[in-house]
Amino acid sequence: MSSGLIFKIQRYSIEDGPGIRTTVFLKGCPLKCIWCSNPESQDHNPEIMYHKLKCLENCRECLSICKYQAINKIRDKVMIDRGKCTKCFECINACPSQALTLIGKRLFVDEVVREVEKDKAFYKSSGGGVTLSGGEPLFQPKFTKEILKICKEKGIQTVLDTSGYAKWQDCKEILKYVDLILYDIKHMDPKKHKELTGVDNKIILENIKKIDGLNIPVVIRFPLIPALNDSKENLYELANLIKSLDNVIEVDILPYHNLGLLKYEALDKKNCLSNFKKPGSKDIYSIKNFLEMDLKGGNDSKKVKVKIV
Amino acid sequence: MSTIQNDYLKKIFFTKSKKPRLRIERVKILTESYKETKGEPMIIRRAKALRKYTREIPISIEDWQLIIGSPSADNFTISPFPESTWDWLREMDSFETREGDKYHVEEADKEYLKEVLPWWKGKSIEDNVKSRLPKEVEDACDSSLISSGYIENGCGNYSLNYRELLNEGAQGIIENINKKMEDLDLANDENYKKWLFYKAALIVCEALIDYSKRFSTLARELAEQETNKERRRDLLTIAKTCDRVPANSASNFIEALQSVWFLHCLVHFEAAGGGGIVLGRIDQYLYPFYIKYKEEKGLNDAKKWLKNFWVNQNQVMLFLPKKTSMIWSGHPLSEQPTIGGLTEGGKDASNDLTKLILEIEKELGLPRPDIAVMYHNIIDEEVLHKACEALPKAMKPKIFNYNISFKHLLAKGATEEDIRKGAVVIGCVSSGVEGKTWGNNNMAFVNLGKCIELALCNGIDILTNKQVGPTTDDPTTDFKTFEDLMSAFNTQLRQAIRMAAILSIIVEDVHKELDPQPLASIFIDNCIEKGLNVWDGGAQYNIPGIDGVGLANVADALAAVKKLVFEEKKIGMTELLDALRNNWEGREILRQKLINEAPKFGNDEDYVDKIAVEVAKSYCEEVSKYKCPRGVPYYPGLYSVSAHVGLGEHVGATPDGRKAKTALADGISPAQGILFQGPTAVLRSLTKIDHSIVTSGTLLNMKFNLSTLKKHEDKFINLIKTFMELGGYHVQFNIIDTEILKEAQKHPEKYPDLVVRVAAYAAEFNSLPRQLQDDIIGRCELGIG
Repeated sequence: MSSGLIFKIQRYSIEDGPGIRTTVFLKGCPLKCIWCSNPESQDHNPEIMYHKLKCLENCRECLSICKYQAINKIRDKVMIDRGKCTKCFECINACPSQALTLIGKRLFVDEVVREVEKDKAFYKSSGGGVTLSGGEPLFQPKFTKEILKICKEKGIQTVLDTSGYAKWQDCKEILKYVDLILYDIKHMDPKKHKELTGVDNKIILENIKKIDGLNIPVVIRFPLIPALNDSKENLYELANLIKSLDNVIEVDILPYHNLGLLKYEALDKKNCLSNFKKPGSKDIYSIKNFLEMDLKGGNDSKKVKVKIV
Repeated sequence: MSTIQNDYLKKIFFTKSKKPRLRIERVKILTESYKETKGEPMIIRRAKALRKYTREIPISIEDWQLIIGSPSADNFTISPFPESTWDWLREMDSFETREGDKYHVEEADKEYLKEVLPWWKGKSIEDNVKSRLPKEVEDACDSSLISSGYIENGCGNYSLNYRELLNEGAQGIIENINKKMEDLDLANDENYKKWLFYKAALIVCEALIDYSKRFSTLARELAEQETNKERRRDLLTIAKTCDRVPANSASNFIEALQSVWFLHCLVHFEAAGGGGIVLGRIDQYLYPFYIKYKEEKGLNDAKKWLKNFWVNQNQVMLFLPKKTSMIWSGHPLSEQPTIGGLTEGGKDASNDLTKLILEIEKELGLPRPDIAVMYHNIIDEEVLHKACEALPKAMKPKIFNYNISFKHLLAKGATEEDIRKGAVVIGCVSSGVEGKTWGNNNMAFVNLGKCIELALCNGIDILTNKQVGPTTDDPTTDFKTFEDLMSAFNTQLRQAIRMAAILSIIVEDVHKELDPQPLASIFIDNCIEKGLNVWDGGAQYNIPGIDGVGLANVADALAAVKKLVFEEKKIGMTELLDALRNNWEGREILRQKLINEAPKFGNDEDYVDKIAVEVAKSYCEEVSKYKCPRGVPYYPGLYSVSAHVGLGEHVGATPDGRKAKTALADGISPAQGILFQGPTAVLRSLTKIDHSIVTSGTLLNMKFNLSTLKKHEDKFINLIKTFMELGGYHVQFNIIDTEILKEAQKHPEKYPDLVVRVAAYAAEFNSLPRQLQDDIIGRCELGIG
């Protein structure tokens, strides 16, 4: 049985697919979207997160336990020298108040499934199930596949939330066990896509076309970042793509937010979140209307809902 | 109905209930009556006092009223009840300005009260309970190891047979009683007692009729002076209605509403501060009247009268004389109707009236009456949808599980037929049978938090250094394993329950003597049949409850000590006890370890959940061993109303990381602020406890984010449905934005009508004391991750 790296298992997850769900967040992502609100999801390695608010004033437990002098406390704030840190994580065990937490735990498939199964009664009544998200779940293909396979066998409905940036062979194998796909399209232009996420969108666009042939319902998720991907042209291209696909049932607009800001600080990671504007509700609705109108113009037999998530 | 009328009715409520005037007429009438009837049997004295009250209490009809009458003098006023408690003279000056409920008191009235109240010395329920307590029980009360809901007030918590009232009228009942009296051979002690009961019953029937006749006369007088045609017509309808009911059977919807309300107002005289007199299955017993009226006069007209009835329920306000009782702020009466449920034939009983009631709740959003929806898996989805719409406005309804209610009632001796016909929620939480049940659900509270404190301190109260519980070994030297601690805890728990049972018996003895309730009795089966008032065992079902408070704290505390002291040995017992004695002063690191490094109840972790299950089970078994003087056992409950705040004030620091004197966990809800896994985990943890053995009921309070509820109503409903499927009994909700609450604390003037749910009832946020406000804010958000 394989194991994988997970940074969170979220129960009563209600934004990642139908019904009441448990979302398993896998750690590690080939993309580095500059607006990413989950910086802790990116590295495929365990990390230490530090929450200043939870840190106790006169506590020095982490300092005294660290054998590598990687921790300092200056003006009540713990400073981690991440260069010196060997990731022994002794400091996390020593921290009494959960100011220092470990992001990223290696779990075996059965451990994940056991956690997922806990809310089975809720899935049954609500039409929910498990969602694999990330990070990028396809970045750990074997682990992802095994979880989904066992969940299916146990009668749990499965959703895959992916950027689509993966080998087709992996996609194909994994999608055998997926009931619904949440598929991110961040930008239609290959150059812009690379600028914003670090990777080309060629594989992503190829994969979605191939996926369309598998007859699995797809929800397209579009993160809306003002000035970066909300141009008329990009929206028009996006709508065209959707119209060319047979199995898209819904488009979700995910308006940009900067709630991840504190997490960057907690990980000592640089960010440019404050450079982006949060979209106003007027803009969000006008884009929703645009997509709705444009998608209506396509094949009449297809009904694609547009939702703001 | 138009928004303007809704706003008008709401405004009436919020202006009138903000600082109601304290009225002395009830005190005056009652004191005079007691002086006049000195030497007569108490049941006759109570009946005569009520009759005098109905003849002399000032009455009024205000221009917003269609349904008339009030449980106090005039409308929206407060009436003290010296026969229950009178010793609040010194507190009177703070009534205008204190935290929580405020009253306006006229100077002349203060003078009157100062003169007359001392006459009640030694005569009140409170004085009598206190003077009869054995030393050990008194000590247990002083340390808040136990308390009772019936020391400073009479007894509510019952369900009346409104069907009988509507079908027979007071006249019908009088005829029935007269017949009973004719057959009595008085040369028999038992029959003599029955005769006395019947005599009192006739007096209160007369009182009921007298009261309505005064209103009829007043309505006619007002109609004569009225220039507005529509209002004049309404006043004449009111007059005609009061001519007919409650003396006669109700012949239409308006009469039915008015009859119920008159009776409700007057039983509150008798209850003398007791709440929880529930409206029962109102969507069932009013339904035939409603349908007929709606067909004749239209929906809007029917709704107009029903809505007025609803606003009137907010007139029921409890007088809270003492600082200690401020935890009951906001008039927590739990006098809810139970809507939904099943029909006798096992079909869904919800109907148009059920939905209309929820619609009115949404439109008015007033704190009273509370609403209970009796859920079962064939309930109309539309009812649940309407419930979700009402929730953000009214924090109501609370949801109960019919299947568990059924099991509770079977355990309480009810027949299946009676359950199907009449399963209702009585008082805040307990299941009873409509029209057949004398409740006393809160005979005593047991402070579970205190039991853990005593177990860790060899029976000594950590705050006062008094020996309150039995000596159960010194933890630092004698506790070798966790089982030793568990055994000490169980010893303390058993003793506390024993004390609670003694307290309950004494409280009952006093009530039996001083608090006969002839009016309530004639509307509770089978009092007339047996010729016995409720305290003498007249009711068909008696369901006295003893409720445990602070289960989550106990489970968390035991789990923390088990793991960190006994298993991992990270913390020494001496170190722990030292920190507890010093209320964590300088020991924050240790406290955080206990909070963060041991599992907490409500996160679906078996390690701690199993402890909660075990404690709950021992509690229930132990309570059931004691018998109430009316022959039935005491029924165990795990809920606190708002006692978790008051009882928490007397509990020192506990090993779950709780600080001394702060609130205990509410009902069977997880402790405040320690949730990581979200609502499904809470519901899973809670349903590991077998709710069917907690026969007096359980309470889970969940807080939900408003936007989440609106966006995902279907998921919210499915969450509740699954909770019920898993065997949960009862859940209620706070639908609120934490930010709004904080803002409302800072600027109460901006949120005059913010209603929140506190423990088992809905109340205006601004009327609550700061401490309770903080408690509500402190609860962690369960809605979204």
